[in-house]
Amino acid sequence: MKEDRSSPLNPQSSVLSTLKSSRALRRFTHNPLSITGLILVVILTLAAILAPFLAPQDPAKQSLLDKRSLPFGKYLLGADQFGRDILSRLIYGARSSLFVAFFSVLIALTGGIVIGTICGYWGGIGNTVLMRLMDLMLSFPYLLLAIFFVAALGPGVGNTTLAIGIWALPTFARIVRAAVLGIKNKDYVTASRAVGAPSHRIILWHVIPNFVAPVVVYATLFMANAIMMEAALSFLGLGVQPPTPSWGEMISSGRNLLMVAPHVATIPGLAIMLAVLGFNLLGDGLRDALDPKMKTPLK
Amino acid sequence: MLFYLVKRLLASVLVVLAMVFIVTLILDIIPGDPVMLMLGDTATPATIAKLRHQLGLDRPLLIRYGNYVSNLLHGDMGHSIREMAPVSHLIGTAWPRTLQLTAVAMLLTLMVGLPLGIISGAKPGSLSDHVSRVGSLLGLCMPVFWIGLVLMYVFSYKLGWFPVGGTGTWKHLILPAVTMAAYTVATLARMTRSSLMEVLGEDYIRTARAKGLSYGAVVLFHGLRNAFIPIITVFGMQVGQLMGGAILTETVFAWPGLGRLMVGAILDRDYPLLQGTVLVFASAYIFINLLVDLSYGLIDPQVSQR
Repeated sequence: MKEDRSSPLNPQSSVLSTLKSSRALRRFTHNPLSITGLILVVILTLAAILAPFLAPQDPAKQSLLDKRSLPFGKYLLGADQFGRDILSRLIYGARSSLFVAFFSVLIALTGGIVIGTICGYWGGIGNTVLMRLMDLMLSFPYLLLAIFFVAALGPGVGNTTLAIGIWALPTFARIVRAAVLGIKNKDYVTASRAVGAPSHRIILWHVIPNFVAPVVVYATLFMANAIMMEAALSFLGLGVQPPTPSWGEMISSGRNLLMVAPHVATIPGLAIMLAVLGFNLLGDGLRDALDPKMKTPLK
Repeated sequence: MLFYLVKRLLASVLVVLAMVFIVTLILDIIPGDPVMLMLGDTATPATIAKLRHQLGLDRPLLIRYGNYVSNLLHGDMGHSIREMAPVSHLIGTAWPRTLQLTAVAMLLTLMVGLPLGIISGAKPGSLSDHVSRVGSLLGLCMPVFWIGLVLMYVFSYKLGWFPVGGTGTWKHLILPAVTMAAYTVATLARMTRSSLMEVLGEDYIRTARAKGLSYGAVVLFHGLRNAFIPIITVFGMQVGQLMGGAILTETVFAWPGLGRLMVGAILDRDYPLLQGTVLVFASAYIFINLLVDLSYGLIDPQVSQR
């Protein structure tokens, strides 16, 4: 299999080998913004994975004596209306955010690749019907479809993930389909078909590796959207449910204290902002590194 | 052009009908009986059956869909379970308020986002470009509802310039509209910048400069006009974004519009009301995108000839 991928039939390479090539890597590391994004994403991921070791307090521990205590006192970022440590809740909140974002992107990615590849490669009636359905889903305004799905499924981490995943699926399907339409008529695919390779083999070894780059870029950028969406749904009370800490829910419950203790609602917003910024910068950096053509020609 | 208009209008109506169908279908296949959720565990089978019949839930999906559409054509969107009022009446009261908010936010987007993008795109690398780029990047990364809360804290609680929430005077309108517009201003500024920069590299720009026009005139009359199509497209998509933003903003500022009505309908499991609000939001979005598509012909004569 390995020889097959490096054979002249497949002149373009997969995302990993593109990254390995020193040019793309250099383009990535020489861009301070991409590195900033990478650092933010790494910090966020570590916080989410190592939450039990990093959090100074139990995120659910209430200490009524400390309620609404200000930042830089007993707790680094202060405490909320129940005297729970905000920093610990932020660290655990990163878990909810990343969990929902990662798995919703995974759902959208898997579904999008399957639908997009099938529609792009084979076409036909099924293609038309599926793509019209995707268009229909895209013609719902932003947030509405996800809200509607959560409304129908009921709140909770799993349903929020599913709702955001379904909401994002059509976009991934379109991107993949467009890429497949471009790839399937390339010479190396025709050549592969000419030597008698079956469709599933062509798709796995020639079609999919060639659209990985744009899809990875889009998935990274979409992580930012998913984090924002999770926060919005949790803020509305439709997403992650208390007592599980989530940034959107923290802002929502801090709302009523805005006048007396503004830090309770504002600090989680900064966490959301940094997380979204991190994934956006990383996504932009990956795009510029993997596919310089996508960059605007003028500076 | 007339043929195109009719074709597009018919297509939009079809999309709306399909949306209604999807909404009905999803409400049908979801686990859990809405009637049980509405009445709670203590309801007797007789009450459940009565409410099911009242809501028409005992009839097949397609019949219900047909009934809904035919009632819709007569201006009847069903009856809200929670509010005990016709859905059309509730939406009729809330809709103008959301429209007002969206219109002001759109105006703000155009008045702030477009100039920011032009200044940035005309002189890439300048100080104003950097300031506007950083500003718009941050604008994209901040959650709408958080911006609303921060604005509320600073301008209502601390400075006392604007009311905390509610509706009534123009003062009530400012903070929610700014909140909603933050994201769209950022997106429009970024899009205008990149679109303008691309166009300014073209040969006809050099020609215009060579014949002695000032840089400002070239940017405004040659650059912007040609950069307009992607800008308008993005602006059209931003309207959908604004509507999503309306749902969050209205919740923050207790603005009694369609978004708040919808969130209430979800939390109360008021399905007829939910169906109605989703329908109105989605149709408005489709209609605005239709207007955007039609406007291409006005900006670019090549489009209307096709």
